[in-house]
Amino acid sequence: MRQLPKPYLLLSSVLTCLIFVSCTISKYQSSVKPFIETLTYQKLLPVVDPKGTSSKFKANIDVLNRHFTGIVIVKKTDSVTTHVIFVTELGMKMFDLEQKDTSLNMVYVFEPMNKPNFINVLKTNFNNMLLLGVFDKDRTTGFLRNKQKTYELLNGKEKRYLIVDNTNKLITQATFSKKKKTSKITYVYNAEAAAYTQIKCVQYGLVKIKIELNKISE
Amino acid sequence: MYKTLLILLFPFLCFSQTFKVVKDTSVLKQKIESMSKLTTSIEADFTQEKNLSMLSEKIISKGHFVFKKENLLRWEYVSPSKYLIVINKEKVIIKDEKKTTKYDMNSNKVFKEINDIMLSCVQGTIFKSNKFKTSYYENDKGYKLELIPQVKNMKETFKKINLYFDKNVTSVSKMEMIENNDDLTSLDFTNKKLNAPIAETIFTVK
Repeated sequence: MRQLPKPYLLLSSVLTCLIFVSCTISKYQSSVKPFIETLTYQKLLPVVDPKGTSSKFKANIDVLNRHFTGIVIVKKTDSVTTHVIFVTELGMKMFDLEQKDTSLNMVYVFEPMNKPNFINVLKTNFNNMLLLGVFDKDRTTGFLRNKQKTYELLNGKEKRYLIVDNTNKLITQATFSKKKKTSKITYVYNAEAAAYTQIKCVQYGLVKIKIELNKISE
Repeated sequence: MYKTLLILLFPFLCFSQTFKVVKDTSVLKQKIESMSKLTTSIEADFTQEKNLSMLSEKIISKGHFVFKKENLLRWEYVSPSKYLIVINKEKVIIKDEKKTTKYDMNSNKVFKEINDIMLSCVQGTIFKSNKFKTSYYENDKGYKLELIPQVKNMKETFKKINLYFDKNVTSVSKMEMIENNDDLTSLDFTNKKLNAPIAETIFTVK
């Protein structure tokens, strides 16, 4: 059988990629039953308890060929401040991420981890995973499909889609830069624990990162 | 009445907790030295309590450790999750729920440092290190060694490390690490077995 010339192969693979990427974002978008509303704790169950009870998670973080494990503790310390602290099993604090109003700052980072790329990756993904700063803010566009709500959050060229089930629990979150999918986060809700017991995040692209949080029952 | 009683008894209740400076440190140093020489192995359970001052929260972990002279240590967490560190002479093996990683101590300065601190803390001989300035305290129940880091890397993380010994100085009973932001990690050792025979196979990880 005659082989196709290389330019054809290249073109076809680019086209396949384009079709795949555009299909991926269209999976989240819909013109069916759009609505506009403000995200509240009643419409979407938060990961961080707004009343200030802390949540502890066993964390596995794989970033830039490095593997970190430890405990992540998340707590809302006042009406506008939330802290995300990562501590190793041996008790060493690795970072302390503080969300205050709309700003997100690394208030402490263990010196060997103090690298701008690394910090940005952590800030973005923990902000998304823990739904920091999405509630009671702007009016958000939503779509209704198959009894599931999809909320679309816009931030410049970045789009975030939150897929919520009919009991207001988050199932999946996906982020896109233009039409390129940049990350996917999945949530497991446990009715007995009345909390999200597992959150898994995968960031695609040049800086690949995997974060897995498993709730520690107390 | 209850309050008055509490106020009257308060100085006595506090007395046992208060440490005063050891006047003649040479006797204590000798005791620790001989404890270290006589100890061939230590096995104990531990409770680690991490206090996060910012959040007023605690993380409590429990586990078991085994030390065997000269350079063998198995430090194992069983709750809230499984995590194992094994130091076997020049090798460090770390096993978590997902992955097992092996390091060569000589190729990794950080692990060399951690190894030195862990082993010398377990044996109580850390006071001999020139990386710390040591102060010696005692009360009616035991001794406390207060170690202030003197080297840059250590200073960036720790404000001080406290080691506690019982009055007979048989082994380290408690350890505290205070970070610069006042977060405290304490380790309490219980069910201690000294100089019991220990098979070397427990210091290998498959």
